[in-house]
Amino acid sequence: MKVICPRLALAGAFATVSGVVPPRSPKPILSQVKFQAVPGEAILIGTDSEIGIRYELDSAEVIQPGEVLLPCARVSAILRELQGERVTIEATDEATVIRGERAEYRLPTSDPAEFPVVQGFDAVDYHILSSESLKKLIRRTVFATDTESTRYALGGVLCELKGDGLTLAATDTRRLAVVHGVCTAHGAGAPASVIPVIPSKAMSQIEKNLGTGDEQAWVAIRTNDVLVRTGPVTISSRLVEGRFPKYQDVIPAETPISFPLIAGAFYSAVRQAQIVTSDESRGVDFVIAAGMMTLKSSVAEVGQSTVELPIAYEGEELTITFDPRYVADFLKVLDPAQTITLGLQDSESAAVFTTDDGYTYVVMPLSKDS
Amino acid sequence: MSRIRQLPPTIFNKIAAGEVIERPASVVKELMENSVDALAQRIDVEIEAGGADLIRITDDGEGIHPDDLLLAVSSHATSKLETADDLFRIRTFGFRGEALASIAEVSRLQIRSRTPDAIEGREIRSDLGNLVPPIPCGAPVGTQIEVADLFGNVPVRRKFLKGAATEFGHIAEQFTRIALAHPRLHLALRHNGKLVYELPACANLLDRIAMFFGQDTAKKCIPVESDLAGVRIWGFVGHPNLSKATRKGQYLFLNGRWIQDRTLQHALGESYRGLVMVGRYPVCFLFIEMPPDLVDVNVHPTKSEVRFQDSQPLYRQLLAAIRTKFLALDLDSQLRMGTGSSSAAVANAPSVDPKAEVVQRELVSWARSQSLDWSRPNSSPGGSGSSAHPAPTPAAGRIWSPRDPGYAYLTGQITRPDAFTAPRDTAGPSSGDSSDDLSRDLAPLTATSLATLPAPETEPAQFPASGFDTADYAATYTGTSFESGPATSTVSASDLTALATGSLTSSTTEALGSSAPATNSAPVRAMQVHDCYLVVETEEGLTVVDQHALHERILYEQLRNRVLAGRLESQKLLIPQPIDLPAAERALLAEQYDLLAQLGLGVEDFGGSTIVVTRYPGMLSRTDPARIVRDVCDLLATQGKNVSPRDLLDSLLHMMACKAAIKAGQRLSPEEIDALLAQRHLCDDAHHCPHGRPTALTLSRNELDRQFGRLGA
Repeated sequence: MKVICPRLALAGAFATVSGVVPPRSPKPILSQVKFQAVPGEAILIGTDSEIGIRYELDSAEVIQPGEVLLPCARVSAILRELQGERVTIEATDEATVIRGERAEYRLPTSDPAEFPVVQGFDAVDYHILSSESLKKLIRRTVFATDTESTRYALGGVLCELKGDGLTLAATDTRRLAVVHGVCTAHGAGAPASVIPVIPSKAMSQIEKNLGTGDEQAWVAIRTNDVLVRTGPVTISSRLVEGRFPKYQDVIPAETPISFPLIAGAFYSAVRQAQIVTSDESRGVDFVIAAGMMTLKSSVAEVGQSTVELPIAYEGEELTITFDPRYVADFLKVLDPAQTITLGLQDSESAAVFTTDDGYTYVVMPLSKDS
Repeated sequence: MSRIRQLPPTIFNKIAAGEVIERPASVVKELMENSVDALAQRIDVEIEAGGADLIRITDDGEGIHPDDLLLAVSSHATSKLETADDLFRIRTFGFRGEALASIAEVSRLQIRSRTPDAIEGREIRSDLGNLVPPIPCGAPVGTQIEVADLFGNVPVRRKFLKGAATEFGHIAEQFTRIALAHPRLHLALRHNGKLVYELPACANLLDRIAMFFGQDTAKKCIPVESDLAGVRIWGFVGHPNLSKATRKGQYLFLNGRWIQDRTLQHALGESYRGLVMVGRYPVCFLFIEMPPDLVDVNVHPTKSEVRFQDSQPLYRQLLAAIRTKFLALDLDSQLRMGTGSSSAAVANAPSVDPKAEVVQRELVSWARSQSLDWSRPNSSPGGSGSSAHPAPTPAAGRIWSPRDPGYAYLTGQITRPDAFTAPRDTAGPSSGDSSDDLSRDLAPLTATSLATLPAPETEPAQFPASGFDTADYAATYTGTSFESGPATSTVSASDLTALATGSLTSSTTEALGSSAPATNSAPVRAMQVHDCYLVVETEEGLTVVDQHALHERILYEQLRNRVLAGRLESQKLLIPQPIDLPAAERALLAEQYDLLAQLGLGVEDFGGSTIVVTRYPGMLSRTDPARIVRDVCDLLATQGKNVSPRDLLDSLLHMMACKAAIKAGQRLSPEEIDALLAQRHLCDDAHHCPHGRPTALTLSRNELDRQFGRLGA
């Protein structure tokens, strides 16, 4: 095998793929990146056996097709340090040679046939949306997953594709994030029998690789796995097994108390109040009164705090206690200028935050009575 | 002078009732066993108010012959024995002929029965011992027995009964035992008219297990089977992570009869050594089938204890069966790993849960090291003569840091004081092998093989009294108190801990008598070894402290102060989490809902044996709520009704402290070590962390001098 690549493009592709390669693994082959040269392009593949990334590098000049395994950490360092415009990768039976302008590395070869198969984007039924909006949808849900739960489905994001819309939902049973987006369908939708829960680790990986431009993202959900393609990158992941809770049921239908807030200002107030909390005593009282919301926290041995925030509310006074981190998680992913609506029922029931762009966040209060 | 006289039947039946019929659950057990003995296919059990008001058991068995009804309720009358010799080959559950007579004496009993060839049924009643002669009645084939107003004429006993939920918990447990032993029976249990269990006949035990303990448990059951010299052991043992805080998950059945047996429990514990923490017990559903003449079941009125003619072969067979199984798991996993890396299909196939894989690997490496140890003495029968082996000090010393040869030698001494190992023939010859196996990462598991591999074939009497407390040791082996022996109260984490506890505690007691523990006033000179223990010089000698246990203890004290000062927060759940519990545990928990609510743990009934957690203590936000509830259940099971809010809070705090504390394997800076040791006094009054592991060991100056031959010089 012999390939000549532009150095920067190759280094970029390698960095993308190595994002999923486990630093330590009981299976040494997983700490390698598969480099595949086919006529017209080079394909880089990395996987941790659950998530796989393929990068199709079409700027590579393939002189002789073939495939080789490259030790991820070592080659990352080589590509970072090499100089010159171009890098030549040549594999023989004895060794893999990486050559830059004034340096040459010979690395031992191992058998590429042992490397697990990572799917390319071969789906015929898929949905298309802009990569920017997919990125936003993922950022708004993935934080609410619970990867340590014994209910494995909570460790992923539910991804429902329907016709020209998609809904992502994630919950750790204390709070729930649901967000709707638009997309266009190509071919048939996802198989109806599948409950498509995508592991949060895969979601984060997908989010990381999505650009903010107008680039398109192609999403295909199949019986056992999900494929997401943007530009030259295809990420595949197996789906989480298990039942996702019926999230629609826990969103309160009506909230008698409701008022608007500016995300940035509210976030700032919550962060200020959060300073005086501890692991054992995390509650912050949100006192909602006419014209003013007061955030009060008080922890023995830590101290007390009072933070005020003017609000457009004219009703009865109500105090509700939240773990401020749950509120902050939500506010953090919003545009500071965005207006949100806080809906409350009473001090013991779920609170609902909504935005005007299809984002709903439900959080359960802390109860302090004993 | 009072004269000796023969007691009338009503009195001796009452006396017998005292031991046979202890509580409503005993009635249920005796009557269900009668039904099984009567070849019933279906048994319905109905309970009112925990069994104190009514117990009704209906079966479709062969019935009682009309002429025998009166005999059935008189004592020492049974259909199950004919000659005295039968007593030594009992194939039925009952045989003493006491149960019905005893029940008749202390309750309002009604028996209706019809044999298949009779045209009508017969009914007999007994009102607190006053028999009403049999009268004809209509009845289906089989027997229906109603026991109402139990202990109506024994007010003390009646008062002694616990709440309906607790008593029903006991009944459910008895029901569970019989249901597990007889998967082919159709069984139903109702309480106050509500159906608790309806178990259709099923072909295999696993289905029953799933029915009682949930699919999760059933999926983690590992089948075990062994057939040796007419003794068959079969059933399921639980995956190590199913372990419980009590032995309640251990179901042992001998010829279909639920039994408790210290020897077998110990064998089970040994076979899991290193896989479950000390203080946790593996789960099992094991059936032993052996010729009835090899075992005496006539030991205790309730027959839950038996005497084996020779328990040692059984001990070894059980141990071997489970270990062989763990080794077999090894083959499976290797196979999977081999194909895993080459085959293309793997990427698509749902991959094995990595955690499970890790556990399996640990299991395998542990089982390997164990099998080495244990196969040796077994292969050479009469192993008691094999104690002549080279002193293994260098090998044992190698585990320790080579930086400090003094420590290495010291450990050698701690690990193998001659008086301690010499008489122990099984541990002796194996020590060389297992030390070789001790690679650093496997140390936590394999090291235990050095520690306390029991010598089942060695009689306690063979232990000479030198060097350690024989009485304590004998107790450990005969099984009168497994937990009390210092050598067994250790944990897999450390060979040092394991062995040193045994030798140190005993030798200190011997050499020093009641010597005072280390004082805090002395300037601290400490070093960290293996990133796990702190070795501290004290005035009396040196102390080895488990850094995790110490930090956990310190955090616990801090947390408790903070929690007592403030309000308890509880995080409500948006989506309540359902948890399946066995009926007995659910019943226990049901009585404590209010108490749990005070602590911020909201639990509600969900129907059947399922409960839901609606909120949980905010300070435990990193812990799975289901785990909290299960641990609380275990606590309630061990402490019964007397558990106080304080105890429960304590256990929650311990859980939290344990999670937050530094772990073994964490390197500490000298400043951190000083800060930790500054609060060492907290450890002095608690020699064990909540998991039952010792927190600190002391090696006295005297002991050091003795080991180096300086004593009396």
